Parts: sequence; C-alpha cells; structure tokens
Amino acid sequence: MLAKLIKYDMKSQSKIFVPMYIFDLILAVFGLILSKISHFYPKSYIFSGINQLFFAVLILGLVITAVVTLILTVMRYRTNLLRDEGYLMHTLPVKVSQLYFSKLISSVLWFIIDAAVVYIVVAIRLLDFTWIAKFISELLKESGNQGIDVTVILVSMIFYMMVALVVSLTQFFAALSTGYSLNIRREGSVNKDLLSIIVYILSYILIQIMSMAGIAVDVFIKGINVNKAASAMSNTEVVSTVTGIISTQTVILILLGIFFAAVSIMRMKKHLNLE
Amino acid sequence: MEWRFSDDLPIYQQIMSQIKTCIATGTWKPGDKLPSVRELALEAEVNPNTMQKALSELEREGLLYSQRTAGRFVSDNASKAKVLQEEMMEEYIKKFLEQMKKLGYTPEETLKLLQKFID
Amino acid sequence: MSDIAVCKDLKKSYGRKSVLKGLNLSIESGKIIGLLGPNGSGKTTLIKLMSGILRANDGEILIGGNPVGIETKKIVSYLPERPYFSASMKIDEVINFFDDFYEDFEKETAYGMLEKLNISPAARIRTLSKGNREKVQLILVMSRKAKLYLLDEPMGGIDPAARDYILKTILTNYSEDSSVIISTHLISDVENVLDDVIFIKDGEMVLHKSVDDIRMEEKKSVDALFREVFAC
Repeated sequence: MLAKLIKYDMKSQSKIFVPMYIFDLILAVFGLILSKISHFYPKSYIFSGINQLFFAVLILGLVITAVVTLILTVMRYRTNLLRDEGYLMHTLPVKVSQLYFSKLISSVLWFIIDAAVVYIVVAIRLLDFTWIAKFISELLKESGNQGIDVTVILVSMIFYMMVALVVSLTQFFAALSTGYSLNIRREGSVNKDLLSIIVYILSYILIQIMSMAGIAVDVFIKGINVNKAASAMSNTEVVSTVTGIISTQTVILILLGIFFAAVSIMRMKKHLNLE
Repeated sequence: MEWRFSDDLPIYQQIMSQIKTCIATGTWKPGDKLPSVRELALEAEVNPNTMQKALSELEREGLLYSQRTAGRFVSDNASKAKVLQEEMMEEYIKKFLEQMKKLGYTPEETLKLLQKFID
Repeated sequence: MSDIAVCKDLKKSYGRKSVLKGLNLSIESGKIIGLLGPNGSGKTTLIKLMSGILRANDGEILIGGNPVGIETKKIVSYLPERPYFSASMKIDEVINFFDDFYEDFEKETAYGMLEKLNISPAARIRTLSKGNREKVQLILVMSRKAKLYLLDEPMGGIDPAARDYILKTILTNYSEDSSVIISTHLISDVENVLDDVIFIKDGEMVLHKSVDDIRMEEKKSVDALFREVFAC
C-alpha cells in the first residue's frame, strides 16, 4: 500500500516537476551553445556579458527549482491530506502512517531527483561531468593548506544539511497537521492556514531551544571548550570540536524529526476534522 | 406500465392494487411471465424489498405464483380472477360514491345522474 | 437478516459543542435507509464517523463486526457531499486509482455507466460540469461491491433528471448483502426507494421505522411526518 501511495504522489507531482527540469535543461543547453559561440568573439563585451547573465539565470533557475520543490511538496501534503482530497485519502483502506510516509518519502525523492538534475544541468553547461569532484578537491586543497583535515567536517556538515532538509519537511507537515486539526472554539470559522503558520513558528522556536540545549550539552557534559581560540587548538582538536558540535545538532534534529512525524500522524489519526 | 404512487399509503399496497388492476383489465393475462423483482422495482422506481413484499402478498392471495427456476407468473385461476374483478368493482363504486358525496350530491341524485349518463 | 452496522452509545463533540450524545443504532443488511434530519442534527457527523473520517469521543461503531478502521474501509463506500477528486486528474486515472486501492472495485461497471451518460473517460475532472462531476463521483462510489454505502446528500444541487439517474443507479446496484444509507433532506424524492428511515434530532435518534409502517400508522408520507417532527 505504501508503495502504491508513493507511486501516485510521484505521478501526480511529476506533471509539474518534469516540465520544470526540462526548462532547466534547456537553459543549460542554451547557455552552453551561447558560450561556444562567444568563443568566436573573445573581445566582445556584449557576448561576455550575455554569457555571464545566462549562467546567472541558470543558477537562479536551479535555486528556484529547489524552492519550488519545497513549496510544492508541502502544498501537496496540505491539499491531498487536509483539504477536500482528504475525503478520498482518509477513507482508503490504508494506515494514516502510510499516508504520512508516502508524502515524506516522495518529497525526499523529489529532492534527490532535484540534486541529480542540478548535477546534470551544471555538467551539461560546463560540458564537464566531473565538476563536483573538482569542486570538492579544490575545497579540500584550500583547507589542507591550513593544515586542517576538513573531510570529516565536510562530511558531517553535508549529512547535517540532509537531515535538516528532511526534518524541515516534517516540521512543515506537523505544523499543517496541527493547525488543521485544532478545534478552536470561536465564533465564525478560524483560518487553518493561519493556525498552521503560528504552529510552525512555535516549532521553529522549539528547534532553536533544542539546538541551544545541544550546545549546552556539548559544553557542560562533553566538555567541549568553546572559549579556546582555534589557533590555540591542535588540528585534531579543531576537527573533533567542530564535528562534535555538528553531530550533537544532527542527533537533536533527528529526534525532533521523529517527534514532528509522531505529532503529524497522531493529529491526523485522532483529531482529523475535514471541512 | 405506468406506475403512480401517492404519499399516504404504503407503497407495497399501492403496487398490489396497480397490479390487480393490470390483471383485472387484462393488461397482464393469466400465464404471463412477470419481469424480475429487480426490473420491476427499477421500472417503478421503488425499493426492491417493497416490490418483493407486494409480489409475495399477491402470491399469497393466489393471484400470482412462482416456479422455482422459471420465475413468477400470473395465475390462471379463474375464480381468483372473478374475485379480483369484484374487489376492484367494489373499490371503484365505493370511491365514486364517496366523491359524489363530497361534491354534495345525495344518493338519489347520484343514481339519477348515473342513469342519465348510461343512456 | 443480520446487522451490517451497529452504533453503541456514540458520542461526538467539537470542542464544547456536543453533536452526538449517545446514539444507538443498528443497520440491517440488504436495506436502503434514509438518514433524515435538519442541518446540524448530527447526520453528517454520523456518516463521517462510520466512514472513518472522524473519530468518536466515546462509544463504538462496528461495521461487519469490526471497529472502524482499515478492515471496515475495505467494505464501506463513501460519497461525501463535496468534490473530492484532484481536479487535474483524468477520469481514467481516477478509475485506475480506485481499482488499485479497492479490491471490490469493478472497472467495467464504472466504464459502462460513464458510457451510458456520454461522459468521456479521457476527460479531466476540472473540465466537467458540476452535475457531471457529481455523477462521476457517484459512479465511482457505486462501482464498488461494498457492504455499506454511505451517501451524504447525493442529490443536493442537481437537476431532477440527474436525481432520477442517481436513484436508478442506487436501485440497480442494490444487493441483499449490502445496505445503502442515504443522508438527505430532500425526502419526497427518495421516499419510494427507502426501506427504513431514521430521524435524527439534536444528535439523538428519534425514530427508526420502515416507510410502510409510517404510512400505515401515521397515514401520511414520511415527508409530511418529517415536517411535523421537525417543525420549527
């Protein structure tokens, strides 16, 4: 059942995402052709200007694609589970948790596809499929000069960012699920989207508090000394300090993510109230 | 067959009278096979259970009979048909007299008028 | 005949407002039942509770012997009052969706009904007129061989010809091991099709009788009785 739900989510959203990716691809190909042409006019300011403009447009396009991915996946959760389509989804013979995870998993899949598209699109524009490897080795070289082994830090940061992305999805979903299921006794109807935004802000505050708690744990329990200047630390100390902090934060985020997921599922299971 | 139902009597009873009329007037002849309960219900736009009830009652009264695999048929029971005819006749006349009374005619006036129209 | 659904002491409130106050009900199999009551009486709430869209605060609902959950959703086919298909989907896609998730769904029945109505399965939901949209929803709900059909105001806002179609569809799909609950306030349109009626007033059941009994005992139609019982 979960696989079926994911299939339909992907299918339905592909109607918007695929054209978007094709558009980005076209931008890349266009930019590539333009840059090849401008080789024939190396002294032309116009061509160099247009080239740079197009590259900027391409990057903008990719950023917009990522933002749109976030907006659409969150909106789909809202439209499909909390509004009129909810009458269809919540009467299917499936568990609420399956409905939830189908949305979460399909959203993450789209982000993964998004990343792949970014990779391909930039690679096409630069006509170089090894651009990521080069980019990373440049970074590592830079820091290597400073004597610090940034690889571990880089890896833990990337992992943290991926976790943060997934958790931010769970945060949105939890805010929506809660905002839409609160039974506020008030004259007239309450705007559920407004409530969701308020819940979202509260959840953001919660994340901040928990993050600071994490730092506190690191300082007082793990004994990480944040006052020591980086220059006074050995290289390994710098790496372990930084990765220590990042990993605590990652764990906190994961716990929060689980909490948000549980809240979403519970609210929809027990307090669902479709219009 | 045109089914017409009024609001104040149980539908199965109305179905029964309408079927009796059909039989009495010869629209449904003895030996005729009836459509299935479902078909009749659909035609009359009534609940199949209601139609079933009406048909069962008519079976009980002997106007219809059913054969296990073959279906439901109109009885060729002559005496039943006669009784039916008499029943309907009584019903019509009673109703007519009631209506005349409502209009304000006395039984004698009604009789006179009736004679007039028959001639 | 056995009961397909039983409600015991069902309570539901929204915040402080109590809508169902301990409802007791049993629905026999093989019947077409009218759930009648004014707006706000609790009939939509009852239907939503039976379909699983809403959770009761207290009491229990058993459908086919099971409490409301995945097992009951497999045998309950629910038609809500509002449009609930994604507007961008084609009818074909919706049919495949139903086929994928419901074992008791019959594609041929759905396609057959669409053909009779001259609605193209390749059409997108958003291109359909309101009347056609509602007919398509009904077709999909009735193309399942469910044990309990819950139709919430299936005839609100449709023209009389469409209403006839809906009644015919309900009658055509009638079977002895399933029941249909029609929640409506357009009583005179459905009266002839109903076996039993249930009157709901202020969250409680005030009457559960067969249409025949009402006509014999009260010497009036259900519609007329309803107006009496619920006179303002």
